[in-house]
Amino acid sequence: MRISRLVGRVLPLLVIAGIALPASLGHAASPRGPAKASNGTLVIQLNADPPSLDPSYSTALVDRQVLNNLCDKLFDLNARGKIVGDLVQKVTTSKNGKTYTLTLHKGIKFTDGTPLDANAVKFNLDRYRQPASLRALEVQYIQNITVTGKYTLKIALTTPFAPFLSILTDRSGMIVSPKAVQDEGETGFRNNPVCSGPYKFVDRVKADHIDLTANTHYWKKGLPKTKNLVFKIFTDANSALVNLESGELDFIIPPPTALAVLKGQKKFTVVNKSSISYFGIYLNVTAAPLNNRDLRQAIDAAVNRKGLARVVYQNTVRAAWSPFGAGVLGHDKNDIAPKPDVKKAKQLVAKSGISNPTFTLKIASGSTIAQQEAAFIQSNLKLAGITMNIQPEDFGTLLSDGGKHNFQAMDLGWSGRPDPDQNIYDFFVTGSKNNYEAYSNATVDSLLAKARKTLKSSKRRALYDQVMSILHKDVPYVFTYHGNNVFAYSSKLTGFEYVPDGIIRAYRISKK
Amino acid sequence: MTFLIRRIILTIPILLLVTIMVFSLIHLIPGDVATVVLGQEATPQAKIAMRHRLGLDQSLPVQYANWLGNVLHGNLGRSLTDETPVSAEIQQRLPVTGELALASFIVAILIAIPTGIISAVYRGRAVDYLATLFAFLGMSVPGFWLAMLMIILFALKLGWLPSSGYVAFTHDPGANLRAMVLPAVATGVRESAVLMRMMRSSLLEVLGQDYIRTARGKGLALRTVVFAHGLRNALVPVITQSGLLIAGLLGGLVITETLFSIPGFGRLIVTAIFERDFITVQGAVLVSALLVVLVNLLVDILYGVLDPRIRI
Repeated sequence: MRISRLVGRVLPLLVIAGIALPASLGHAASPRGPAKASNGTLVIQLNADPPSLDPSYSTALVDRQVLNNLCDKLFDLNARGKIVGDLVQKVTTSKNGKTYTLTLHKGIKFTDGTPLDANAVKFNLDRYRQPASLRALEVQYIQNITVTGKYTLKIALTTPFAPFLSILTDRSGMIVSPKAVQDEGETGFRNNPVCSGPYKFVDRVKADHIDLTANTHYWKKGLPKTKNLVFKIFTDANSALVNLESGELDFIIPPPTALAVLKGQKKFTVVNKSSISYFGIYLNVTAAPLNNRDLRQAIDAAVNRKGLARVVYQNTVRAAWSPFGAGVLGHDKNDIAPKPDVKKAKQLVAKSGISNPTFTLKIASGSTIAQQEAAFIQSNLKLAGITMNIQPEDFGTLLSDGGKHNFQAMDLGWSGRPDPDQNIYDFFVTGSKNNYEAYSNATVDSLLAKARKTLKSSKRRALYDQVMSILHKDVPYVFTYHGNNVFAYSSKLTGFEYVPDGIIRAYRISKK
Repeated sequence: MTFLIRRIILTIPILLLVTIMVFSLIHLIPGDVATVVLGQEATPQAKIAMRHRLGLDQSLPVQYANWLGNVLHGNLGRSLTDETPVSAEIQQRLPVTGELALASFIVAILIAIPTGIISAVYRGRAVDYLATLFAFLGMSVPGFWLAMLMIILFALKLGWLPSSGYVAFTHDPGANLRAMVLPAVATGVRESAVLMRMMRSSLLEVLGQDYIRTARGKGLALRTVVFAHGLRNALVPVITQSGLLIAGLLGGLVITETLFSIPGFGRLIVTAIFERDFITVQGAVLVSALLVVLVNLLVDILYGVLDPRIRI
């Protein structure tokens, strides 16, 4: 048959081009597929690939989602956002607030069999203090750590530091196996992390999935609830959504815009809760025309925060006027978003003496919703006679420009931390690292320095109130809203508990 | 044979040029790599140490020379984010994308060649218009949309096929093939449109030639004339197009890979670009360029197989 000759001609093309090529270049290790979403396997979506699975070098929220299921921490947050002991059984603070004495739970082992004792904790904290560690700034006030017994240690600080225990509820409090770090090396560890947590690391295919399996010797009885935990990276929200429907995924982190689709679906449970993140606009106080305080106040008065939350974000964010989200000390009255006041804004523009004020807002490129947000604020300001141009910029460039104060206004937020200090100090104190707006106010500096040394909540609270009233007058930053944490999960899951830090404690989730 | 050797030697300056272009493009992107990779929480010392370790404090030509020197020794470097060797990452992903590209290509060919032939042979009839309509639809419909519709229909509503994921063929052949069907068909349908139009016009041209009329004149059946005399000659431009298609697929499956969560080569490159992991980007793009050059070489060789008048 003639056709067979044709097939004989075409087939080599298929075979040579399709198989021989890739095979000749890459014959080794084909990725094994991740475990499927069955009863014993919980599959959670991540919307980005975790850059580093080593708490010392972690940079992203998605890292923390994985790490919190791999590693135990010295302290943890409970559902109300309160600090509770995790590895630490008991903590005492000296009167001057400079010495913490920790007593650890006994008999805990890392998954490589080595003991988690006071020496291991000291090793970890010392490791985080190395300048190369991304935790170095968080633990910069540690002066020294003394092991006083197999399970007890003393941490001496150079100064009282109120956020200290709160910092130990996150990556700086994660305790990894010293032996694994020594065996794998500083850079090798992140590809085979060993901790003492509910799950242990199995395998990872970059940009695709991370496989974990239960730590069968876990010291907390009855945990984890599900045998295998898989994190699958889906950068496309629609794709994640259909995979939740088809059952390939059990738990997704959808963008706020997907909420309308998710609501009213009986098969899923949707969580939409205010987070401790905050968003807004840096106003460079050294760059004209925004070096004019009246103009900055005019901008602050003209922005319609509630409208922004409703129109652009469909109420998946919460209008705000401070860096303190729900549950963070200093939140309540400082955070009530003022109504937009066009009349007042116009008066302030007139008072500023600047005719036709114009400035450029830099925003991160690639996000439609960030563009919509900027356009919404642009229209708010237009009503007050202020012209705002919008300039999208690649995120890396945006950060670099921020550090160099190379902008007039910049739309950039912060993922938020449970302690108020960690949301305000580095952003408003003269010369500190995230003070992109180049703001400098001696009173604010001394109040914030005092606040981080004050251990009593009520006194600290009063200091933050004072700072906020100054910031509301000076407006180096236009606070606009707190983001929400939005999760959706299959109704087959039980045991999920929302914690304000937005971390999914997957080990508590059971699957029917 | 001399042609072959000459062709192979010619690829060297092409690849060099590609490396220079990739290297320059990456270093033209504004923003500091250390700031992006280490984030907002890094100490200034950590950033300086990273720039030093990566040689970013040296001049661009020196950086390029160092990198090229390593590449010539077979060392593509280590990823900036997780320190795994770039060559290992590429080796892991290339077979996945290779399989997907092959499967998509087979789907495209299976649709394009028969429809193209029918369309040419029955030019101007209803079946030709139908095929043309299909081709235009195929070219106009965005790939991600078609893929999403197929997921909704075949994975969600009917539940016949998985909506995402990848299982290695060696691990479970059945699961591998099931996982490949939707992505391969979604990509293949789209890619078949161009091939089909190419097949049609090429065959039409051939069928209008004198030797075809002679063949028909001496009483050969239409089927014999088309398949034995026409098709082989008409395939040359189709092969060229196929080469381009395969080359494009090897690097350009990123949307399919993202939608179906397949750990392929395209996703590796795109993720690396977003993370500013320029070592991975450089290595992956170099391999990608190498593949394109190789595919083109194979296409040239196949010309000779199909048409003995073309000597290589």
